[in-house]
Amino acid sequence: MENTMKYLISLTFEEIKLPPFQEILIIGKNSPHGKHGISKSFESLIPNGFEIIDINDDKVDSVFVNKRILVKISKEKLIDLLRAKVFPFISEGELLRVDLKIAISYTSEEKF
Amino acid sequence: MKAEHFIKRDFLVASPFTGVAELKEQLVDHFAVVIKEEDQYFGILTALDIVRKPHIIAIDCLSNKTPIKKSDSISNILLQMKWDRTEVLPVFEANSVVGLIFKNDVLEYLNEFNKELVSQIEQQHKKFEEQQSEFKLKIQQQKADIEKIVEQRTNELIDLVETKDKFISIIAHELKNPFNSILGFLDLLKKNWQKYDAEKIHMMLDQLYHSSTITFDLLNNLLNWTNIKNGKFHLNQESISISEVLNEELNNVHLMTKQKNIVINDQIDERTKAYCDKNLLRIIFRNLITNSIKYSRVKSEIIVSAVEKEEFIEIHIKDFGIGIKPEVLEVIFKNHTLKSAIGTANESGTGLGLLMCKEYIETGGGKIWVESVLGQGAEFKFTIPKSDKNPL
Repeated sequence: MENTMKYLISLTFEEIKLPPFQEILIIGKNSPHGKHGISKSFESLIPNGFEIIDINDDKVDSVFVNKRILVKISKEKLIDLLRAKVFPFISEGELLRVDLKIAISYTSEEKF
Repeated sequence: MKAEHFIKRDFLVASPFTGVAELKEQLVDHFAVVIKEEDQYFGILTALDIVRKPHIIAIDCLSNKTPIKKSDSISNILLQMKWDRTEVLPVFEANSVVGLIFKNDVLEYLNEFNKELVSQIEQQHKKFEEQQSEFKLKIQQQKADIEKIVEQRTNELIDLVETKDKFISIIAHELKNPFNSILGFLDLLKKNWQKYDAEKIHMMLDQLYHSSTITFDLLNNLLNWTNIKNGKFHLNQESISISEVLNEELNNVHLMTKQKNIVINDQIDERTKAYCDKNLLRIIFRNLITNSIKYSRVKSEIIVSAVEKEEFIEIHIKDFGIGIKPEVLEVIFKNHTLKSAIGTANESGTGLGLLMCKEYIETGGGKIWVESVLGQGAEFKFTIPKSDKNPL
């Protein structure tokens, strides 16, 4: 019986963007990557694109927020939202990417 | 001690974005790495920082370490290290880090300093204990000395009181005898003066004179003795002829020598001069010659002579009388004797004269002693300072 070797090749394509998140990155306490190191690498990718917000929390060290978001929602409101909805799910040492879409609608009733 | 003594200037430097893995080995050897880039200082990375903040980039691991100045004191540095929870602090000069100070270096120095201090304290303590011990010994010695002095003074006081009591008793007794004699003769003369012939009256007057002289001498001696003891006596030293003073006194004892038919042989050179108080020498002669007469037998001789001995003149008064018992010789110049033997003509005495002679002679810087062979006589010897103008 003759031995044969087959190769199965799977090929997929996907577009990525750098950095690997666009809106928010939460850095957990004791994460291998500290805010200075991450900031340095982000600066080279998107200069002046993110704001670093230090957090006073047991599990969260800091939050990187795309400055475009902060134009639409205040820093305090955003952190309050994250504190309520996201921080409870983060583990120590974890880096968590948060996708945040903001849709703003405006309705006006006018009487004639 | 200031910070500048502990600054280590040969520190390692790393970029803030160096990987911690790369710095770990360096931290093992150097304990701290200064994180800086160009002129910008970020902090000091230690192994403790990596444990506390386990990130992979150096800058993320840094903790606060307050910069200090070279002039800061050790105590402030240690306090700052405690507050910052660190073993090392950066030293800044003109806004730039110039070195590091490690807690271990400071503690090692303090440890050595403390050892030295403890050693010094131990030495001081030892010295203090030795001094204390010496002091205690001195105190004990002084206490013993004081106790000895107190005991000695107490004994002297007891002796003095006893002597005074004895004195009063003896003096009273010695005064009573001549007064009895005086009163007896006066009584006889008062009742019988018309019956007595001139020779008898003369004989009785001689007796009266003799008893009065004895009484007067006794009172005189007593007064002089009291003055010496009370410190009221003052020496009036001058250059005097010994022979001259002796002759004056021989006139005073003429009656006594006549009664016993005693010849006093004055062998002192007229030119011999002494430096002493004339009155004192007179009293000394009077007492010693009277004493010799008292213990001389009838028809005997008393020789008075003087020899020059270095800075002193030694005067000898020698009699050939009954002599002095050996046991009396030992105590003859001591207070507690105060009783003299009866003379060859039953003369009594107090011994006060000899004591007073001793006091006077010693006050003038001389000394007195006596040599005697029982039954063959006695020789009193005393010294007085020689006069510079002495031609001998």
